[in-house]
Amino acid sequence: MIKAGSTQVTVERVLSKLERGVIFSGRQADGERIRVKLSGIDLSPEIGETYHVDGLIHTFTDKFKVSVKQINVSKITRVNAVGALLIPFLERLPNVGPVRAKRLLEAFGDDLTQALTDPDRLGEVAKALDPAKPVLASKIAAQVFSAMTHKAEEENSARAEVEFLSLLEKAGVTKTGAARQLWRLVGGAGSQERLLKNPYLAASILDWKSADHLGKNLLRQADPKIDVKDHPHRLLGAVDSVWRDLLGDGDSASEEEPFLALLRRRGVDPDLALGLARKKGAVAESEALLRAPGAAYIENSLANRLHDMEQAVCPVIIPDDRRLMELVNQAEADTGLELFQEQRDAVVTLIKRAVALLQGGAGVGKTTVMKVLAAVWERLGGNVVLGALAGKAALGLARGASSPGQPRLGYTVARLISMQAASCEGKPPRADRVVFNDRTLIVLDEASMLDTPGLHELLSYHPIGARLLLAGDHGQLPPVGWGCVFHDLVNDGSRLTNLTTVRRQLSGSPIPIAAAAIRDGNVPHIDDWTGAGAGIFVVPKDRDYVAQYQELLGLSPDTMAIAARRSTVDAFNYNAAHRIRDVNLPVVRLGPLASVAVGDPIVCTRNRYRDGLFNGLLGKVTEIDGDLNISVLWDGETEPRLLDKDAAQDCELAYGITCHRAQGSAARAVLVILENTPLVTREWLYTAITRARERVVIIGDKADLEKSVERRTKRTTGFRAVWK
Amino acid sequence: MARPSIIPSVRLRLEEYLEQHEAEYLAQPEATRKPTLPYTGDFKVNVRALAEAIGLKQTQEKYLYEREELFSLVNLTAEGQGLLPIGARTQPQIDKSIRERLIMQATGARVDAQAAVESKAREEALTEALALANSQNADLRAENTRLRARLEMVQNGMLARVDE
Repeated sequence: MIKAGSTQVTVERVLSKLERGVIFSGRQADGERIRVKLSGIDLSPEIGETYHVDGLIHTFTDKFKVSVKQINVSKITRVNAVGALLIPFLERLPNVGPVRAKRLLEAFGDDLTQALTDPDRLGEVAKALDPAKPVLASKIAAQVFSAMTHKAEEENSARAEVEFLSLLEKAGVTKTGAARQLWRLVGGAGSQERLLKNPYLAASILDWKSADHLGKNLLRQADPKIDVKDHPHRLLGAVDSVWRDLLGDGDSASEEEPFLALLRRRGVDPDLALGLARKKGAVAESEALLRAPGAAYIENSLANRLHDMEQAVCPVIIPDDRRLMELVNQAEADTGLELFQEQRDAVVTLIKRAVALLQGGAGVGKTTVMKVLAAVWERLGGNVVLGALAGKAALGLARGASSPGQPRLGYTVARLISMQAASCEGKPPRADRVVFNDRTLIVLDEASMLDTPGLHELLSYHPIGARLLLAGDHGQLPPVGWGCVFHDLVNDGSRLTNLTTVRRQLSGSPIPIAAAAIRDGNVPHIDDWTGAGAGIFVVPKDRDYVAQYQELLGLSPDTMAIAARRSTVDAFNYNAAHRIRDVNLPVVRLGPLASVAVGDPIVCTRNRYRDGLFNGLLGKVTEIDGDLNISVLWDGETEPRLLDKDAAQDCELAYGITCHRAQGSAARAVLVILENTPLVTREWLYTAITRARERVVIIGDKADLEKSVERRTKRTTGFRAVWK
Repeated sequence: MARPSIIPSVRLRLEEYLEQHEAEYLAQPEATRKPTLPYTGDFKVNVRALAEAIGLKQTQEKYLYEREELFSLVNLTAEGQGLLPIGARTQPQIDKSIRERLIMQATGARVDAQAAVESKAREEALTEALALANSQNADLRAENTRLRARLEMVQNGMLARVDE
């Protein structure tokens, strides 16, 4: 029989975490066990927490024919545990356990919480805990009191967070991620007052419409008669909102006119807003550019760091050009390579610079130059560390730069940051003995992918005197994060060495030829797809994307799909997951962005260097165990790793990905969904095509192809203004 | 059928042993109390001697290191007697005289703490102080989270102006 009811329950075990739902078992105040099923509610209950639940109560019978009481929850709120509801918490305390917890309940009943928080009753509690061992019991009682005060504090904090989040929900903030980010910014005791003092804080986090709605509500809450239109908080909020959108597109700066236009679009007086922003430091300025203040700090600090590196004295003595050329010849002999004159000249030029750039398209021999340069640097008494943002790129660089007598390892930027941080903190080097000192040359490949905060963080640990070589291809898209420091440095040109002659034709494949044409602004000839073969092909734009993807998948499991619009990628992932997944596999919710099953490809959507993850890192779910822990084999790694629960929030399905996220990866076959949108540019198409090793299929028509080659990707950054 | 765990019986013996030794400890004059649990030269609990005293075989000593329900009981008593808990690392560079000074200080603190435990008024004061410390900790944790969130905003290029 099903009936409506409510109860209070303390969590004893979390049984399952499903898509937008959880099942846990717990104990009610009368000691009876109950199964609690939540659907459509975003909650992560922990063992020992107590909830008040409303819903439909019925009897659930599992596959072993065991029946238990279950409540299907319609409403759930966290409450303080009292009386018997405290038992699961007490049982888990060290030195208490089920027997002593039961004694406490028998002695104090509903008065339990009061007894365990009243210092006058410490003796009574000790006696109840274990009358036969009074000395030991008094010590355990003190422990219980301490745990209870800690629990009370945690409950207060959890309650404050729930109240804060429901206040935001009432004010129309429905995105849980944004609401939690606001909580992190103003949380703790006095959070609501703090939010009222900063009513437009959400402008940095939410779209303007939602942030403005919330801001106006909060302003009116504080003073119902207030004029919100030109309120200083609103004006500055609009400025923050413009920065949020610009940074989302990768720009860290803007010229004044477009910035004013964006302010106007937000319904504020643009001159008034910008004037106030100038006074309050909500914009920074360099030359004719307005700069996002946080980004300006990072960019200035990075530029200073690079200048300091150039001023620092490196103990490695660089000989004259004649001697250098001799060393290059010796290094060629050591590595078994023969360089072209352009490459030899590049080595000699690059090795003299503390901060150097090596630029060139696919197949110009950048890796060969890096390999010989590394050998020369070591002959001069230095040491070399190789790295790249993505694991596969780091691995490729290491392979390319290794010789039979000189194997080399390559590291991801995430690993380099954590290794340098450990080295700065004085921790002993790990077994692989990577040394960072004033003789170190860090060589970073695929540097066009590295965003400004990433390079800033890496160099903040760089030892004084150490050197840096950035190698990449500025024909590719700028990084997925904000800024484009490699492109800026290439455009500046002062530390740049260009390689221009294509040395490598990939076994006659037309892909590099077509890519080079696109890079130069020409539309290559592309054959129609006939269902087989290597090369670059086109299919009509009305073709079913997932069907085409499945066709390519049938030819090679190493297939990647790339689209430009976020909405296209999301729809593709949804459809592909439902059509490709084994229907019998359990699906587990990763976070607000995705649910996954074993075999699903996923991508990390945020830089989490300390966890060895970065925005755009691809992986495959290899296992989901009974406790719903997810193991992932990440690109470039040999063993699957357990996915941290926090990191899971930043992962999503990757049957299809955006081109920005595809940058660090490559696949045998690539499906390019060519949409007619300003996002699809020459750089976009070039990057998408160069992800493929064997086969590219473009879904689109010739007109879209021509338009995309014509369009250019442009980023406005403040770094350019401060780096001279 | 699976063999029943020996841990409950070990725990029972351990509790009896600790009860007796803690009572002996408290029976000493406050100012000159010496630890009654066996300990090593560097003032750590002597796990081997303890294991022998409660009748554990040498191969069973590991339970005292591995099982929380056992080592947490020992540590609860050991710390009250000014000894380092099971598994604690001593710093070899701390010379004997410093160690002795630390032990003296620990004894002094212990005397104060013991006096407090025995006085109801002080018990109350201690519990209130604990609640206050917990509340201050929670405030500091929240402030730490707020500052970290602002730092992350800077990494994202934004500057969150939060009027506290």
